[in-house]
Amino acid sequence: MIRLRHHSSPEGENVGGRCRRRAHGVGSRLPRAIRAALALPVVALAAAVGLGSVRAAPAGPGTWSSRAEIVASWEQVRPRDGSALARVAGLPDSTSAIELRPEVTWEFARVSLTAKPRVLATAAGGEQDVVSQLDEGWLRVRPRVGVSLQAGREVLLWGPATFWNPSNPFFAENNRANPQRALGGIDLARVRWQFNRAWSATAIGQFGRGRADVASAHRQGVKVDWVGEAASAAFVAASAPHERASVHGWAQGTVSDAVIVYGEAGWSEGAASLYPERGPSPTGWSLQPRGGDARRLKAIVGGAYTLLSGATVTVEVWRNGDAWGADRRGQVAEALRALVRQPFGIADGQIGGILTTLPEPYGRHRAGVQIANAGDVRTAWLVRYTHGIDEGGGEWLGYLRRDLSDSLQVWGSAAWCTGGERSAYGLGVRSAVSVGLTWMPW
Amino acid sequence: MPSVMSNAPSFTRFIGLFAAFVGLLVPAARPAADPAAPSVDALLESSDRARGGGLPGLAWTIEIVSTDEDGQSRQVMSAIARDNDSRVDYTAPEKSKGQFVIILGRNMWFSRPGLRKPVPLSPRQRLVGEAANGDIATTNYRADYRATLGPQESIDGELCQVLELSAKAKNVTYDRIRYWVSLQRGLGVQAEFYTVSGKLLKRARFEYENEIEFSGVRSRFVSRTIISDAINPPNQTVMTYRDVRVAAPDPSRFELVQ
Repeated sequence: MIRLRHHSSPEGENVGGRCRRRAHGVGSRLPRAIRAALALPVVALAAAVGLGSVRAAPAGPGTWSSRAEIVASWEQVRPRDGSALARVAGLPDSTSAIELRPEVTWEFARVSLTAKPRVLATAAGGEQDVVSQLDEGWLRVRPRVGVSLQAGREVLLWGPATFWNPSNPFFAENNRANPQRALGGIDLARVRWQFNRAWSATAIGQFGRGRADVASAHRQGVKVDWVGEAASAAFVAASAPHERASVHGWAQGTVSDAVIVYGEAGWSEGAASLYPERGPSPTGWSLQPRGGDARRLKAIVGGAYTLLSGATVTVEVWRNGDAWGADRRGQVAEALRALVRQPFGIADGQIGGILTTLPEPYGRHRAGVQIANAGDVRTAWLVRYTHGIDEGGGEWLGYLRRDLSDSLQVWGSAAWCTGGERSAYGLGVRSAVSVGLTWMPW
Repeated sequence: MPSVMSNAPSFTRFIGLFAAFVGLLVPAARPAADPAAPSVDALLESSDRARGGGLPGLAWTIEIVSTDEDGQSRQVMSAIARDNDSRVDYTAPEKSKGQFVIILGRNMWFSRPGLRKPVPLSPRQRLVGEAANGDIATTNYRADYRATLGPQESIDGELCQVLELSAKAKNVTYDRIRYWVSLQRGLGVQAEFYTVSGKLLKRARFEYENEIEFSGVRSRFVSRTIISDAINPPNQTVMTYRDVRVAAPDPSRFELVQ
């Protein structure tokens, strides 16, 4: 079953990206009967009782620390008329959700354990659903000064760019391009050596997909980091079974008191996509794998300027060598247009196959601009526009958050997408509005 | 650069106030060799020592209470520092828990649980908010400022040497600082921070009730910093320092991926 995962997030950096929202299979769930019976009430019960036990520091050696968030949200999505994505993903008009996000850490001497379980309950289109999962959890050991070993499930992100992080071979997304989906970690082990103040190296071995939507379950990499007085950089080499080795890197520099410039790049294979071609199938179309057959350059450059008010303007431009040109985008648009008009059945599977494997970003060149405040103590805001230079169209986004107290926040966001059928921004959603409350009980 | 907008309150508060602590805490330095003719270099060296010079590193707990037109707010954080590098982890209030800031030279990153990835920040963002009161103090005065002797003035009955500091480079936070250093104790007592246009922005006072011990020598350490907004005088921030320890931090604690 292909459907959207509705993981609403109150984080300003994580809003937007709705136009490009992809379909994903829902992960581990409770049995359907239990879901239907418990749904939202189980979340409230867990909040009151279950997690309360986590809060209390157990007796014994070591120190405990914990925090928790309870996020309640409501989202309304307006799909495009005749949208292929809306058809196969079954976009509901509105979704209500409540999610528990506890985090517990135990530390003793040179050893620490961290767990970030999640319980998400959603109600949409007359259906209720509860998903419980371990987004992250790891064991960390610091056997000697400057050395750390970590194993478990982790969201491993790096790179200075806002809109895209091609320097990271482990995570294609940075939780900003598709914000309604909370990232789960991948299963990995890593060892890090800090040689001196400036240089460090990390060896990373991935041994499972964990909770992340990543192409490969196994990947190895080496990362070398350098930090100067006003600049930093990293070089990454990685390999995975059935893929050519890839190289990646990023660099950033503080040019002045108010300006930071940076860039990220990767030279790697892309994921194979299912490309529609006319063929002797009941729908008249067949899907053929395309891409992922050669290493191509993916790069993003950008800069940020901090205004005297404290607000920061960010501008980024990027190129995805694996993205499709106008001809292929036109073919996809034609196929989707034809498939959407066909009866439910095989056509839906083909639509889902096309949409879930589209290159991301879809167009080769894109640009983004964002302005966000950093000066108001209790009220935060953000305005962002992402534009498809080749494909046309784009996404406008606004976000506002207000602290009601030290432990309660209210927030809301609105997105508006423009673009034709050859643009990723025109494939599914026209607009989306979400509001929510975040309570941090401890 | 990625946004920090939803983290603005915690981050901005921290940046300036933490900076004030690091930069202006002055251990019980040796009294000026000749109070009648103090050496600028010796006074600045004393100030720079407060940033960890001669120490393998510091760890402490900071409580920040800010008062402005919206009321009063409180934050608590634990910090480690090594030369010009530092890491601060927020422990209270609830909305700030899990956040951390790493400063490595002029590089700064901010992160919090929902952000997933540390966000790089420009030095100017240290100016934002009440926390900016202490930002000047993050500067290494001896390295970043030209200093001239000013008059000798009394602060609460304590004779101080006024140092007039002007920026050597354009990229320092403030163009000019007036810094009062006690001739008797060798401690920074008061500082005023000015904009490029010469406008007074902030004023800070320092108290030294803490003690540290290093290499068998006990010396006084800053215990409280009171920062007043010169533009909005009712706005005030008080930083209280506890559990100050001389300790070399594990370098892996400055890892961005945590």
